[in-house]
Amino acid sequence: MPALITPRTLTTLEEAFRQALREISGAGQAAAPALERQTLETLDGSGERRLLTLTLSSYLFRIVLLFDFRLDAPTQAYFARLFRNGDAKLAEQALADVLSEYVNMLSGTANRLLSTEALRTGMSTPFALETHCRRHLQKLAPAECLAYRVKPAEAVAFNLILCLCVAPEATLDLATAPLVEEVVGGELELF
Amino acid sequence: MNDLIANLALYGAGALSGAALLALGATPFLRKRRQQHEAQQAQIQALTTRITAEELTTRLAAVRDDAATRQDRALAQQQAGHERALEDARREAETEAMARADNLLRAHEGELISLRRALLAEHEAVTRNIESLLDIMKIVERWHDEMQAILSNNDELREQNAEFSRIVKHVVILSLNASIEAARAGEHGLGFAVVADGVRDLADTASRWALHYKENLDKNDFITTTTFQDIQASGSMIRTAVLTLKAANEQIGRRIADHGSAPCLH
Repeated sequence: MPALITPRTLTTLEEAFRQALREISGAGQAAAPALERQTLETLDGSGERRLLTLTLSSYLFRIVLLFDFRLDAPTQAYFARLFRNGDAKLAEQALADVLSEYVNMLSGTANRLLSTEALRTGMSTPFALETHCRRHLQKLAPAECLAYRVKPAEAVAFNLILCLCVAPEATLDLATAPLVEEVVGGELELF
Repeated sequence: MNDLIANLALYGAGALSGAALLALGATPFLRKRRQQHEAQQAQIQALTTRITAEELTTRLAAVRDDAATRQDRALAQQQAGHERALEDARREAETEAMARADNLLRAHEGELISLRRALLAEHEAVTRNIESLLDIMKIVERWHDEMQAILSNNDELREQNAEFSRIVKHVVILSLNASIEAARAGEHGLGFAVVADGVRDLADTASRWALHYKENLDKNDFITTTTFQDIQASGSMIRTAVLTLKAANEQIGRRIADHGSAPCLH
């Protein structure tokens, strides 16, 4: 029997990342980052890109996250401001570090929102991959793939892909308590 | 007839004699009763003429008060007797209850001591198992290092493939140049043109294989990286779970130790 993923699991995952985006951007409800559902085929693939992957693992499932950034000027400037207090142009290694830091923070926040007493998950560190690796998602044999276009700020966008791999014959049913609107900032996050 | 009259006369005489005798016998008795009655009447007369109504009321009130006082005293004595009996019964019940409670306490304390010993033994066993589990984390760290080696190897393969692709590109360029030179040489260059074309075909094939190989390297990278991340994340999760278990076990140990050092309750 194949693995089963309940509809509310997908909603829960989407909400966790939506909330995580709000928290790390420090935006209020009115200016919340956008998380637009897409298909794998409609995702933007133009320009020079950087692909980072990170995995959330539990006993019966793992979620492989792929963050596909376009390295245009607005994107670089946004992340430079977010982590380096105003440097508009970053050197290659510095840019790689900044993107890794962002992926780590966003995934960690989402992981914290998903973790409950009954659900334990661990998180890996982010890794950079060749952009073309995105074409090989089916090698993971995922039960479900969710694709999003994320707009953390005006004129800044990146692709986010969530691949859910569930143990055979297992049922994945994730539900969390209602998420609070309050934005938490300035605290040391332990994921 | 004469007989009848004689009988009646006899009866009459007898009756009169009897009545006379009766009267003679009853007269002293009657006289005595009359005397007693007269004495009582004289007493009553004496009492009623000797005591006034107010004095009678006062004497009666005093008698009543005396009777009430005697009654209250009797009731108080009765109540005191009941209270003493109740107090004795209460003390007896209290003594018995304390004795029972003491026995129960001793029995429970004995059980608690046994339970504490058993818990300590279990706690020590769990502590050893947790330490073993933490040692297992070293295996995860070893897997982590081994996967790093695989990823490093993949990087090497990628660099080698990139170098191979560069070489193939140069070969393609050289073969094109060779074809151009062969064309310039005209008929003399025909043989060389064939060789150049052959080399270019081989270079194109090599180039396609290089692309396939790169694609396979990308797949390999993707699978290896995500597998490595799964090991890393799972290891982190297991480590957190084991450390949580360790903290809970230490808490249990402290509670057992605190209970063992608690003062005796009796």
